[in-house]
Amino acid sequence: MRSVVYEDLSENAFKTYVYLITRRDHCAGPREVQRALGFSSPSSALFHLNKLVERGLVREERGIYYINDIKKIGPLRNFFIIRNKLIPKDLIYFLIIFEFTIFDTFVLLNPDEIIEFLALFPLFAAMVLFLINGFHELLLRRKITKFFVMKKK
Amino acid sequence: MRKCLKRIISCLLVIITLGSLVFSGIFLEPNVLAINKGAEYESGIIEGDPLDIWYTWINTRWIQLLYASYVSDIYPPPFLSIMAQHFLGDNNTEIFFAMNFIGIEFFDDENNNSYFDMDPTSGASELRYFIFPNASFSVVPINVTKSILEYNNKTIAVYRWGFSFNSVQGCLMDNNGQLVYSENDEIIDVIVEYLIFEYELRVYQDTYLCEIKQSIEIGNITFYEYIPGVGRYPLSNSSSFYNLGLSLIFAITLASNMNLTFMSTTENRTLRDPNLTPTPVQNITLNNGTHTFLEMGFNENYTIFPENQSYRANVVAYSKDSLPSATVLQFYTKNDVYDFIGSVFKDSVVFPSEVTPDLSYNRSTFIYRIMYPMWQGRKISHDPKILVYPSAKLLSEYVSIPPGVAPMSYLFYHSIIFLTIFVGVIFFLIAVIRAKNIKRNELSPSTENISN
Repeated sequence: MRSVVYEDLSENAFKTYVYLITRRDHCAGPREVQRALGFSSPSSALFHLNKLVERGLVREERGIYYINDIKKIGPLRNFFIIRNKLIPKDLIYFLIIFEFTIFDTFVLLNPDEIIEFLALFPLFAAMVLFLINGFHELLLRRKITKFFVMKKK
Repeated sequence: MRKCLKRIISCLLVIITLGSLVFSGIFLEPNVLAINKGAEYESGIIEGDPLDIWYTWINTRWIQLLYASYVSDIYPPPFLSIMAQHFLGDNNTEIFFAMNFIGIEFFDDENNNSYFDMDPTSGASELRYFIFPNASFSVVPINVTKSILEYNNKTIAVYRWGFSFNSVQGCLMDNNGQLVYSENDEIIDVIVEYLIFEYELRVYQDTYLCEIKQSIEIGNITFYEYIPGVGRYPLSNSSSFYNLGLSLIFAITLASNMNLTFMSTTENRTLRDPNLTPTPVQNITLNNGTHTFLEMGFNENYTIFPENQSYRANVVAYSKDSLPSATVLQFYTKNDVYDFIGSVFKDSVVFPSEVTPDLSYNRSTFIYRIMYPMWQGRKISHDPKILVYPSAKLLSEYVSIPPGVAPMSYLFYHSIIFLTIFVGVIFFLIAVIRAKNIKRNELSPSTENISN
């Protein structure tokens, strides 16, 4: 039984792709991938890297695999990718709306007045929802980059 | 990376656009086109030709207050300061009350009773001179602000505004309304360094008692010989004027749907009497015999600077016929400011048509003079106050503006509420869609068998 992450891409192939994204130069050899992801042999890593090459996500040059152009596939859609960092989108949205809400609440409107409180209600609700989403994304990020944590330990 | 940058830039653009839509009103000038009666408080300018009217409007649900004066970028604005109030008292008593500053007088207190006596029958009077304030060389309006005070577990809304008349010029006139000439046969011109009226309206949120504090500050008064086409020269023997007492005249206008009386509690005498003789009034009440609707209290002491010495101020009510000269008071009979105030209250849904405020001095109920027997040409400070007892809410509603925020137009304020709701709903929908997307894109195991 294998898990499928994106179309016909397996979870291990996806994790290999994520590993390449989080590398500083977005590139790695099969042995590095094998070590980082804990594959049994470099050939397993090679298998997944070749799968990524077939999908057009990665190109191979002299035994090193490079990411062509970062494509947000599957769970990666939930993140902003800045350099080699995955930043949860909803946490950013939460910060924006938080600023709006604080400014509206303390400067422009008076929540003591029922009309103004009701006007602020959708903002508060959206803020809470974005915060929940942000936590989900943090958990997701932990899941897809779990191997790195283990390696650091 | 490029795509990411593009998205960040587009996100920023959206934020800036929305932000500018929502917050641009903070930087707007006060409304210049028309008074917004729905606003809780605002200061603004009504453009006119050639003079504009500066106003402060406060609408606290329990009391409506309008202060107005002339301003101009082109001409020295004529001297006028008027404050009108509207509120509901017990038994559906609707009250319109206006206080109009009219002028400055000098009196010779021959009998040392600290106010000037006049006998309407014989015409004898201790009044010596008065200034018909012509115009101010400059004016500085102080826009209304609101703050909240917590005092002894009481919440008090405090509104402050003011108006400063700088270098008020007027010609000195005698008791008969004739110009006064110097020994050199030149017109005597008077310049009051400044005259500042500062106001503070306190609304006690538990009892709805409204307290209006009026702070009067008069700068040094200097007498000049005015030679037309040449200029002004300080009067050599002006010391004789400084030995006279100083008095400020205010006219009171009242309109109500009930029969009300102004009473001097000191003398227990009604002030709505055409033959009113000078009546000392340290405290004036407006009542119907059983209820008191309004109380005017005059702080007994005033201060002279720079000595910082306090003296007793006397407040005396007079019949409106005691004004120096009806001819020079034409200005106070009809003008744009009166029309403006009248129009604001006349068309108000809360003000019944049978009570039409008429602010002309001829219609005033009585006048009172605040007298400063000791003066000597120096700066004076004095703080009378008015207590208003509203007992019913006015029908009009306002949209509360938090303290510290510049007053905005009613329309703009509503647009902020609308935009807040709009932005909130949009963000909420985005958040719901995002929650669904996160679930869909989660790293979930599949039972599908896929060959490597």
